[in-house]
Amino acid sequence: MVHSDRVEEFFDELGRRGHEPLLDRLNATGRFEVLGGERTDEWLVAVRGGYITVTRGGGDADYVLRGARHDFDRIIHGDAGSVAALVRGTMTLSGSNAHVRFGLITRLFAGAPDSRRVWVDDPRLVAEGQQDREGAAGGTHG
Amino acid sequence: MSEALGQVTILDGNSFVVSDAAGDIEATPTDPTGLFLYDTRYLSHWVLTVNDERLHALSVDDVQYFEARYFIVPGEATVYRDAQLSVVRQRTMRNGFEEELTILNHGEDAVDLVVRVDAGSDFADLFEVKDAQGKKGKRYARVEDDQLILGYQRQTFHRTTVVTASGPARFDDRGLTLTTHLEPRGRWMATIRVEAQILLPTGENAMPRWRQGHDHLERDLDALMRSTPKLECDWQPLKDTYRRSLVDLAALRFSPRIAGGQSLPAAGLPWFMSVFGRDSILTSLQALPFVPSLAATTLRVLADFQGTRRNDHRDEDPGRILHEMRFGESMAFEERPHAPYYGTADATPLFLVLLDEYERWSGDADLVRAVEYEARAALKWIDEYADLTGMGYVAYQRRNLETGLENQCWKDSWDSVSFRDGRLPGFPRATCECQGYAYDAKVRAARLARQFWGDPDYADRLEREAAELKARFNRDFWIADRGCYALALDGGGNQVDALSSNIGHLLWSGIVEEGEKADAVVGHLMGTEMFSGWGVRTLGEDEGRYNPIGYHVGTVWPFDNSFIAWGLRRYGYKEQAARIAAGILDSAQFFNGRLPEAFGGYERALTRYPVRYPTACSPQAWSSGAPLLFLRTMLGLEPSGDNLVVNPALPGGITHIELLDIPGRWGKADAFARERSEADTQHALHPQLSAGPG
Repeated sequence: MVHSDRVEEFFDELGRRGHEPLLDRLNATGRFEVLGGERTDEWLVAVRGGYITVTRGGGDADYVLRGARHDFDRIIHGDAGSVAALVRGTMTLSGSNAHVRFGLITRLFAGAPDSRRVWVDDPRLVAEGQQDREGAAGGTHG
Repeated sequence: MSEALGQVTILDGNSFVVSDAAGDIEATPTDPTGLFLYDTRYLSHWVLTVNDERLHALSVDDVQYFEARYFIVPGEATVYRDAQLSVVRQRTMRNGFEEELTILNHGEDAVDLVVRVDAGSDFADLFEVKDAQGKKGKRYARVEDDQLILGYQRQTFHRTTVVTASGPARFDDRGLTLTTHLEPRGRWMATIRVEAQILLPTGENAMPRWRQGHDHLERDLDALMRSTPKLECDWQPLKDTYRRSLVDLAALRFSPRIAGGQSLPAAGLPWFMSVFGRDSILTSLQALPFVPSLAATTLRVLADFQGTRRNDHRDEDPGRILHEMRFGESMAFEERPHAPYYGTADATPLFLVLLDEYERWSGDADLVRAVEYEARAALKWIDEYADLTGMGYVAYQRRNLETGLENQCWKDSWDSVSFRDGRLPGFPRATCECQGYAYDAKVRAARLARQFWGDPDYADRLEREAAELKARFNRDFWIADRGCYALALDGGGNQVDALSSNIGHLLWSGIVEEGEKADAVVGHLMGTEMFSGWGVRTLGEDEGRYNPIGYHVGTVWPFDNSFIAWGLRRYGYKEQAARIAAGILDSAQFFNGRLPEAFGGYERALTRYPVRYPTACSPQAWSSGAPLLFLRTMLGLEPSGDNLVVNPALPGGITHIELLDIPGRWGKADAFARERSEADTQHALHPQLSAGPG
C-alpha cells in the first residue's frame, strides 16, 4: 500500500520508545494531521512525564501539527528542518501556546532511538533504557 | 537628536526601519535600508511628495528608539528658501510602522495640496541584501477596500505589506494620494499605517504581535528602566553610557512566537536581528545583575532548540546549542541552513556556564532541574561530538561546505585564526578560548549535578575531567618561548602561535595556571602589542595579519574587553581590569554613549579618538552589555550563597559609584564604591578618562 511508508513506521516506533528524558518538559497531547491526496491520516501523540502514547485517529489535543505526508517524511528522516517547514508554510501548528512548545515537539522527530539515549549523559538512563528494551522485546508490539 | 542628518534608524526588537533624514526610503538591492521584520524587507520604497515636490530634512528627532520625528520642508536641500509649508512626519514602530503626517501652512494664502506617498517592496531576504541574490517567487501589488496590498508569494511562503490611511485616500498599485485644502495658518493631519504580515495557507497572519504602538512601547521601556538598578557616580559619561546601554538592550529585545511572550535579545542591527546562541548567552551573562530575565528566556529557548540529530546542512549534532536561527525566505527553502544553524563551537559550553551563573544570581533552581537533560546532552556533545581530533579538545570543522561557517568561534570571519606569520591553519581547529569555556562548563556543571541533580558521581567525574583538561591544555597550548597560550591547535595538533585577545577569555574561564603563566598572559594583554590605550586588540600589532581596521584581526571589540576585564578580576588583577574598563567606557563618549560592535585598533596616543569601524553593527547587544559587565567588574560584584559580595576597584578618574537595587536571590542589594584614601590616589593609574570628544 502506498501509504504504508516511513511516516507510519515512525508513529509505530514512537509509541514503543519508553521513557524519553528529553521529552520530560513536554506534557501535552498533539494531533498530527498528515495530508496525502484525498485522505488525511491522524495520530494522537500524548506525552506525560517523558512517556509517549500514540493512538491512531483523531481526538482532542493541546496542539495540532498539520502538513503533507511528503513534508512529514522529510522531517522525520532529517532531510528537512521542521522550523523551516513552519516558516515556509508547508506545515502549520495551532493550539494555544503551541509555538512555545515547538522546540520540544520537534524532538519527537529526533534521530535513531539508540543515539537519543546515549547523548544524554546519564548512566541511570542507560540502565533504564536497557530495561525498556527488554520490556519491549517481551511485549506485544510488532 | 541624531548626530548628523544621515540615515535614521528606529527599531523594535528584530523589526526596524532605516530611512534617509527626511524619512524617505529608496533602497538599492544591496543596502539595508527599508522596513525589515523577521529577516524580510517589507518596504524598499517609501517616498513622500507634496504637490509633486520632494521634501528635505531640517532636523530629525529620535528621542525614543522606536520613534522618529522628521521636520521637513518642500524643495531641494541645496536651495534654501523660506518655506510656506512645513511637514512633520512622526514614525512609530507598530507591526511595521505608523506614520503621522502633519502639514502646517505658514503662508498668508490658502493652498490646495496633493500629498503623495509612493510605496513598493522587493521582499528581499536579508541574506539577499547581504549577498545581492535574485527572487524566485512572484511579487504583486493590488488595491482592495481602501488599502494597498504589496505581496510576495513563493509556493506556500506568503508575505504581505498592507498600507492603509486614517482619512480619505486614493490608492493605486504604486502608492496612495491624499488631497486637502489648507487655510492660512491651517493644519492638516493624517495617519498612514504599514503593516507587515506573515500569511499562512489558512489565511491567518502569523506575525508575532508584541508591545505594539507608542503607548505599549513606552510602558515597556519605563517598566524595564524602573526594574533595573539605579546608578550614581561622579563621572557623568558613565551614567549616560549606562542609560544608553539599558535603552539599547530594551530596544533589541524581541519576542518570537517560540518565546511565549518572553523576550530575548536580537544580536545586532542591521545584519544580526535574530536569535544567536553565542550572542544571546554572552549578552545575558553581561546583563545578569541588571536584567536577569534575559538569561531565563535565552536558556529556555536555546534548550528547546538544542540539536537532536546529525545533519550536515545545518552542522547539527545531538546536544549542540544553536548558532543562529533565521525566519526569512532563504531559510524557509533551506537555501541557507539557518533552520536553525548549529555551526558554533562555543555556544554549547557557554550555555552551561550561563545556566550555572544564572542560578548563582537568581536562585532559580527550578530551571536548573527542568533543563537537566539538555545540560547533560550538552556535556555529552563536548566529549563526543566536539572532540574531532581525539585529543580531548573542543574543535570545529564545518560539514556544510557551501554555506556553513569556516570559523565557529566568536571570531567567525575567514581569516581570524592564523599563525604568527599569517598562514592559515588546517582543520579541525581547536581555539584556546573554547577549551576555557569547556573547562568552566564542567566545573560549573559539577556544582549543578551535586546540588540540584542529585548525582554526586557525575559531579566527581566532571571535576576530574575538568582538572585533566586544565593540565592537558596548559601542556599543549602553552608556547614556552613566547610565554603565552597558542590561539589554537590545528588539525595536526600544532600550535597556532599568533598573539590574540582569545587568551584574555582564558582568565575568565579559570583554565590559566596561577602564577607565572597568569602573569605572562596579563603582561601580554596590557602590553603595547595588545593594549591600544582604549582596549585590547583582537590581534597583536606584530602579527602577520594585523590590521587596525580588520574585523577580527586588529580592531578592539568592547564585548571582548568586558570578558577580558572580568577574567583579570577573577585572577586578582584589579588595576588592569579597571584600566580596560576605563579605556572602553571612555571611548563610548565618542559614540554618544553607544559602544559600537568594534572600533579601530589604532594607538590611542596616535588618533586621540576611537576610529569607527566602517560597517560595525550598532546597536549591538553584547556591546550594549559591555558597560554593564564593566560595572560588575569595577564593583567586584559576586554572589556568595544568598548574599551579594562587593569588592570594588575603580579606575583613576572615578572616585565613587553607587549601584542601588541590584536584583538577585537576596531580593535587592546595594553596592557602594568609594576611593579609599589620598594615598591610593597617588598610586592610582594614570588618569585615563578624558574630558570627552571635542
